[in-house]
Amino acid sequence: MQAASLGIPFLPIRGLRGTDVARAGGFATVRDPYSGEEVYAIPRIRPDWAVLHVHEADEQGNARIYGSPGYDLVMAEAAARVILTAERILPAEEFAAHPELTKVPGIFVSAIVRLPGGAAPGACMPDYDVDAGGIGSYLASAESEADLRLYLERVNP
Amino acid sequence: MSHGRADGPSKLTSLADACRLIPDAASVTFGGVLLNRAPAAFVRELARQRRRGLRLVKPSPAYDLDLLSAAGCLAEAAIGITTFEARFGQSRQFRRQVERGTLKVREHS
Repeated sequence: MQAASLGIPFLPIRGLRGTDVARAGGFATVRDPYSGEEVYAIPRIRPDWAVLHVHEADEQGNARIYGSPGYDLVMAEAAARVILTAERILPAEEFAAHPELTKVPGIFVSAIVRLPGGAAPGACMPDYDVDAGGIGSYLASAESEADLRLYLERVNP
Repeated sequence: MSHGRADGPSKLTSLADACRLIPDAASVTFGGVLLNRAPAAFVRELARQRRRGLRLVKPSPAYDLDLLSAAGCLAEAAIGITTFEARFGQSRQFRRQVERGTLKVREHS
C-alpha cells in the first residue's frame, strides 16, 4: 500500500532477505541501477476502499487523528476511495483555523458517518480504551452463527 | 465522486448508506492497529448487510478480520499479523475459516 500511496508500481525492500516470506510471496528482485544492490520489488496494493475511524472530521472529510495514526494515512492515499467514521463532526472553520492538525485531506474522502464510539469494543484513545467486557462478549458470541446474529442485533451500531 | 472543496456539498451520510457503497467482492482496508481505532461499528454493519466475497488488506487486523470471517463476508485476507493480543488470545474465527479452506490468506510479514 505504501507503493500505491506514492503512485508507483512497486517498492524496493531489503528486509525480506534471508527469510522464506519472499519465496512464499513470490516476490521478484530488481537491481538498483546506481549501486547494483539487489532488492525485492514488492508490488503495490491498491484497495478499492479504505474505511477509517477518526476522532474529528468536517463535512468535507478533512479529518484529525490524535495519537498514532498507524497506517491510516498511507491507506487513505493508497485506496481508490475512502469512507470515514468519526467520533465528532466539527465545523469546517475549525479545520481552516488549524490546518496543521488535518491528517486526512477531504479531497480523498467520499463519505463520512458521525459515529461516536465507532471503534468500540476497541480503543479510540484518548476518548476510550479497549472495552474488555465488549471484546469478551464478541469472542463468546462468535462461536456460533445464531449467537453472532444476536450479537449483531444487540451491538448496533 | 465528489471532491473536497471547502464549500462543496456535505459528504455526511448514514452508516447503512455508507456501507452500501462497498459492493460484494470489493477489496477493502480498515484503519487502526490491532484493538486500536478500527472502524468496528462499520464492520458490524457490513456483516448485518451480509456483504460477501470481500478481500481484506490490512497489516494488523483483529476484531475487524475476525468478525468478518465469522460472518462469512470474506473470500481473502492479505495480512501481516492478527491477534486479540495477550489479554484475549488468538483470532479464533479467522483461524477456523482458514482451516476449513473457506478463507484464502496471503501473509506479508
